[in-house]
Amino acid sequence: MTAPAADRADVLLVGNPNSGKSLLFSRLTGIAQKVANYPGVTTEVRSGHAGRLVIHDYPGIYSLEPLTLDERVAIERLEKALADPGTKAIVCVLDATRLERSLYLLLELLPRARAVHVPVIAAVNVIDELVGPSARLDLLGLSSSVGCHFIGVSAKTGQGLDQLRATLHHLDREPPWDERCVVPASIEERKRLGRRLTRAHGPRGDVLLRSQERLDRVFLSTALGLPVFLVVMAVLFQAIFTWAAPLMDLVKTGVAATGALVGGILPPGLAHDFVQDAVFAGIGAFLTFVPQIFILFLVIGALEDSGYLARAAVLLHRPLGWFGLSGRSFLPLLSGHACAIPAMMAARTIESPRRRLITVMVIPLTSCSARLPIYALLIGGFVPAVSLVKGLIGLQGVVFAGVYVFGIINALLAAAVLDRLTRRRIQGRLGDAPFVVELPPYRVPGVKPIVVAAASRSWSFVRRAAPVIFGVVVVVWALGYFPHGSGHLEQSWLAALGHLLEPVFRPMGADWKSAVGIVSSFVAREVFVGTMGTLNGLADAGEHLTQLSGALQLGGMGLASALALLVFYATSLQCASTLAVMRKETGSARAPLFAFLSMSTFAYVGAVVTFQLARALGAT
Amino acid sequence: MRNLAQLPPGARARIDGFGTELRPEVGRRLRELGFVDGNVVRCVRRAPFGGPRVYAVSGAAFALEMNIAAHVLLGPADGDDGARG
Repeated sequence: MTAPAADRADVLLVGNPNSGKSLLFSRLTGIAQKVANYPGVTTEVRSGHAGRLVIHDYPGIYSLEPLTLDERVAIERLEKALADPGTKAIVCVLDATRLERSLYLLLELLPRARAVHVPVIAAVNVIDELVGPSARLDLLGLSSSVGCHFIGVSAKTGQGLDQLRATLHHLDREPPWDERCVVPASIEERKRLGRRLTRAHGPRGDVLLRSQERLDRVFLSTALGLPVFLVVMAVLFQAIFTWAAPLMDLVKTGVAATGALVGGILPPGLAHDFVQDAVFAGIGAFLTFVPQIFILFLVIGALEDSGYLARAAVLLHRPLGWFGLSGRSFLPLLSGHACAIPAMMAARTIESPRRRLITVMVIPLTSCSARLPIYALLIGGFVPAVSLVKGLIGLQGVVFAGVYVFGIINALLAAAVLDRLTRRRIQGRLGDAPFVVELPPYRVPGVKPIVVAAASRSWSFVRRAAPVIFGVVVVVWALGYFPHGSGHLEQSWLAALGHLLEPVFRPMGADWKSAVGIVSSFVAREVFVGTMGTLNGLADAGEHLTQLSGALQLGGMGLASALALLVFYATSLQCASTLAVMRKETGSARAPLFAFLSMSTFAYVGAVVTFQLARALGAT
Repeated sequence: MRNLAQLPPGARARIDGFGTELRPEVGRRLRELGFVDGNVVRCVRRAPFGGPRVYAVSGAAFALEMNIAAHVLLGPADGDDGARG
């Protein structure tokens, strides 16, 4: 919004959560944006161009009276925009399959928009699902009854979009309002009007509601609900660990080939060493697990769009409540397995401020994908590759799954403790909103929107994390390179630092190299593998985990030390970006400080106990 | 007086006000979603573990925590006038 008010033509896109608004926005502007079928996923206002119009996508709201934090943010910004002279029109997105309910927001919005002479267009979405004899939608009737444009669209198929665009472009700022259409002031009257309009002009019956109830008989049933949920989660984790592998290999090979190419051009010396060991080795190790994040976003996107995530929230609301969490904590905790940053932002939809705070603080305990290369290194290199149950299950796989379960249990226990701690301090539940979740109809998700959204989410993650990781890698490399240059690591500043810190980490079985690795990874834990590679003279450790673990074993590291490191990394909060975002999301430095100190302490104590216990049990 | 939490799955009833302990803004939101006086609400099903229940009202389905549903008061059971969903 930089142009002067007179030339500007802002269009505000508003609608209920789940109305398909974000997908419509992508369709109109062509900007890749998160499109999801989970109420309240869009927590930011996104803007994009459609010709000379600037379209602003507002988070989904049920009314102009906020109840939760994300609603309050959305409504405040919407009201500001409404008062802005640059605002040309409002597009209110309605769901044709749930017309009666979606009309309420339109009826609330209309008088406010009319007061400032901003025209409203009602875009009735999902018309592609209106099929069969009951599928009536009298747009003209609705237009004349309500006194604003009604346009039938389908964000999925693109139907009606040209008409919407044309209407927007030819709209006058002050259209001749039909003054006969008076919108009543009370909620009851508006609801009644919505019902009358739906009966007169909308689809008959509730075919979709009935079919959704049939599916809910499975997904929300006492007997099948939990098994189905566990299968869905199993598929999700299978996807992250198995399906991502070919993509990860591709990235590895690509980075290695580029590194070799660039390394071959540069003459030997400082620049060559820097590019080869710091830039390609460091960033390469990080880029390798981006495909995993992408796949996780992809699967979560499919779950959101299908309508299943809302069911999972309902299914888990009570069990999560035992730990002071909400059903809405499920999506953030699940996302935490990819990256804590988007996960903490997803927690904004949690209805209770206290439960939201607890959720945000325990998210870093779930095993994010930055921990994955460390797990792969330690488990692949130190846990014996024996098979159990007649060769069906490998011990390494069991340990791998165990670390993830360990993270989830830690998060739940921490939540229960925080629940106790905050119950007394944050008085009562006065600020809490109720747990009311709309169950959207089940839909077959569109492939393209999910892929585009996953790509855009992955990209914003890379953009946020890469500079930090690069910075740390450069510092660690420089400390290890100077003062004597390549090949004199033992005499480097880094080695001096490691020897200084060794006594602290000795009780958990770490030598000076591991000590350096741990310290260097306090800013970003994914640095550990790269640092260990540098310390052991392997340029591209991310690509040769087996070689690195071999080098570590030669250096005297054993199973006990590896298990201790595993516990340490599963528990500690080593991520500067997470701390920064936690500060922003909770509005104070206290939460990240507390989380950092307590998690570091638990990580250290846990690692020491693990090492001593493993040694006592006979591990080397 | 009966409340929504007592409505068994499959049964319908007409909404007849809210309990006085319910915070006004929460009552307002419930009304905005369709839980208004005179509307017919149907209990669709209960979630496992004694969790939220699913209610159909105004042609849409909502899961409500039991401690909220207990504040929604119901009139006597009756026919299905306006009982869309």
